[in-house]
Amino acid sequence: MRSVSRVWGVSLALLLVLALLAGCTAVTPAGDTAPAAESGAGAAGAAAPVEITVAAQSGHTATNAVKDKLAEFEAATGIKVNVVEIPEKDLTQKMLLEFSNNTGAFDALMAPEDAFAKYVTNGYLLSLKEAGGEPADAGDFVPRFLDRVRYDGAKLYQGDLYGLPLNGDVNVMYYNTELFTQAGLDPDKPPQTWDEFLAAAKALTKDGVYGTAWLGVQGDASTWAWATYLFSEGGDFFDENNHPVFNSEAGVKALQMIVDMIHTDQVMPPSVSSWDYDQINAAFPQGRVAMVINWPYMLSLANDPAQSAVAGKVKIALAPKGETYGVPSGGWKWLIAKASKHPAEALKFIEFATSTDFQSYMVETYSQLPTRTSVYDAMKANNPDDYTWQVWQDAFSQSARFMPVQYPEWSQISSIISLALQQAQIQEKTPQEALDAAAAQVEELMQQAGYYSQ
Amino acid sequence: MTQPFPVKRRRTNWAGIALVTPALLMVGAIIVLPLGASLAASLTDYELTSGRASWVGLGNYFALLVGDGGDAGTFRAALGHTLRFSLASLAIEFVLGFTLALLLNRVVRLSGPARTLLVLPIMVAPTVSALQWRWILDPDNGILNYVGVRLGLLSSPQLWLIQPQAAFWTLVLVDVWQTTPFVLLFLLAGLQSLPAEPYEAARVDGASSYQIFLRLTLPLLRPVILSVLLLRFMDAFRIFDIAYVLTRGGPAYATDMVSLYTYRVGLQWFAIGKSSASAVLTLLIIGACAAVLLLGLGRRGEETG
Repeated sequence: MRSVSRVWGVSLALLLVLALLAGCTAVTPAGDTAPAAESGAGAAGAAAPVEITVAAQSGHTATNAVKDKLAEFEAATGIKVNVVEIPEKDLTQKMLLEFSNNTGAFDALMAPEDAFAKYVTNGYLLSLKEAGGEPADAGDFVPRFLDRVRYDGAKLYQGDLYGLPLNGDVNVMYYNTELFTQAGLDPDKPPQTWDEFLAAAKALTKDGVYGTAWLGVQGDASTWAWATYLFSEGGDFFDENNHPVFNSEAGVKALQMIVDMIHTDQVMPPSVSSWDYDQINAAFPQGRVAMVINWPYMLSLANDPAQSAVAGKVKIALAPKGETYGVPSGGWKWLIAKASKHPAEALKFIEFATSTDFQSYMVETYSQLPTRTSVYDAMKANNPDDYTWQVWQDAFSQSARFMPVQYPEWSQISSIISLALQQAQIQEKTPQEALDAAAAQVEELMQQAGYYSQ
Repeated sequence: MTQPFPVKRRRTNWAGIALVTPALLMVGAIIVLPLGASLAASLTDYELTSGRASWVGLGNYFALLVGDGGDAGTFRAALGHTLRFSLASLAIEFVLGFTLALLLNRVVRLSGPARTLLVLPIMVAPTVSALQWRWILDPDNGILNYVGVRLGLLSSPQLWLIQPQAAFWTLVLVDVWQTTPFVLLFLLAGLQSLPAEPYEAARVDGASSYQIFLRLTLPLLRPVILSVLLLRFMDAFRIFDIAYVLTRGGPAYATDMVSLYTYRVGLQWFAIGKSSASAVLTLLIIGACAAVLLLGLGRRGEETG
């Protein structure tokens, strides 16, 4: 009798263990069907206005712009828009769950640069032609942005439109003019080459201020940030046959430069290998770092007196040139879900959210970069004293490169590269060793994925 | 032939079953089903990106345990860190918690306020405490470096989360800070429920305090000790929030844990099959450790009962 009760005791306790663990093991695609019910409601009554559900990244300024302007759109079209805000970390994952279970919960969605390939190659998106036709003024969009939402059924970035470009994103250099003056540098002559950049960084590093910093943290942020160094030294991530080449001479030089700036020149904070956007977003506006290379949001953040101690003392310039100019670029997109029950209305919505009026508002209120030629021209004409428009245009025309986000394996590739960047930064391996090991791993990954046999 | 008492017939207790059914269905829906789904997914190469899945048998398990090797960023490396982390924090928490519990059990006068103060850290959510620790440990603005340097305890500001060894032990420290109170409370409750008679008898027989502790307190407390070790081990093995907030598994995956690995593979690379296999392995490892501890607990029960 006793042994029986012990068996029961043990199994009950094990069940308890399972119960405790259920939370961390339950990675099933079964959950989260609630929004499906919501969107279904719109189609119920014939007289009721059509309601569409739109996924947007919470906190993104474009989302704020949509919320500001939504009433205008609803009044003009009679379409009711339900904006669901999703944190950046969960957005792609949530959309993939919805799409692979074909819930039809979302009609339109905001997507970052690296998500488009994942969606469109798996047939989760509706082309604009299928939704009701490509917009008549599509020619107004800058081709380099518009091409990033094209797909011809086999190749990415050519063929039919599967969405419209929301904003432009490109890395430039931000620098603190006050610290430049204090260090005896001319704030109107920012460094143009990496040599000048390093010299300026050395002059700026004093009294607790560091010349520069970068996104050294383990994760995607550092892979993107390193691209500036890699591209400008003339390197690239892959060759045209899908073989990794980031461990080239240029790649090693690009990583050595960062390692030297941390350990030899000591112009970066010693803790920079753990710096994520949070740290950069605090240090630069506090005036603790004099120069950073970052995305456009940095300019409005650093020049906003409510959030920045250096407001009005920040200027931008092209990121330094090595062998060439080169920085990562991208942009968010508005897309239409294949499973949408109201594709025509979803198309109307994304046309509205990329219209000339809307973009002008988004640019003026939230300092986003537009994707329409007409808006660029209007901004330059209306603000002849604003030098930044020229810098942005030069950045796109001279520097901007794309990341290899066309590979569905990109997240894993980026994580492998980021590990190498970490190993070099904490001097566990030399840049050459770290990058060689990472390239070998990526080569194996690509081979397993079927890009080549040997 | 008539029996003095009527024999109790085994009858189906429908009312009881009816009362239990909703609870069982609930357990089935929120535990058994997801668990089964994870198990099923772990035998496929299910990818969230494409939504396609095909049967790979034990391929994912083989890859995790053998195929991927044990370099930085692999499951095996993460498993090693997790075991090291769990054992290290368990050992420190147990010694600290037990010492404090014995002290509090003795000192009656201040034990009320002392207990309240000592127990405060468990009231803080792990993510919140990890964020606080991130500020405390910040190399440039953190109070630990500031105070340490001012008092002359540190020669220069330390990079707590940048050096692999330091980062690992920092995680242990934060976990010890957060959960020692739990061990303390658990053991203190155990100590206070011990019967007084054996102690009186031992003292009459002239046993020293050391002998009493070793021969009386420890054996009597054994079930409580095993329970708290079991609970804390399972909890420490599942570490996610502290590591995610403080190090993200860095530097260079030196503090990568199985939960972080599972998260990365499943929710960043979208390889649900492989990440499910990793989760199932975690479950099996914890289950095995729990079973071993529980068998020890049972044997003790047999000896006294």
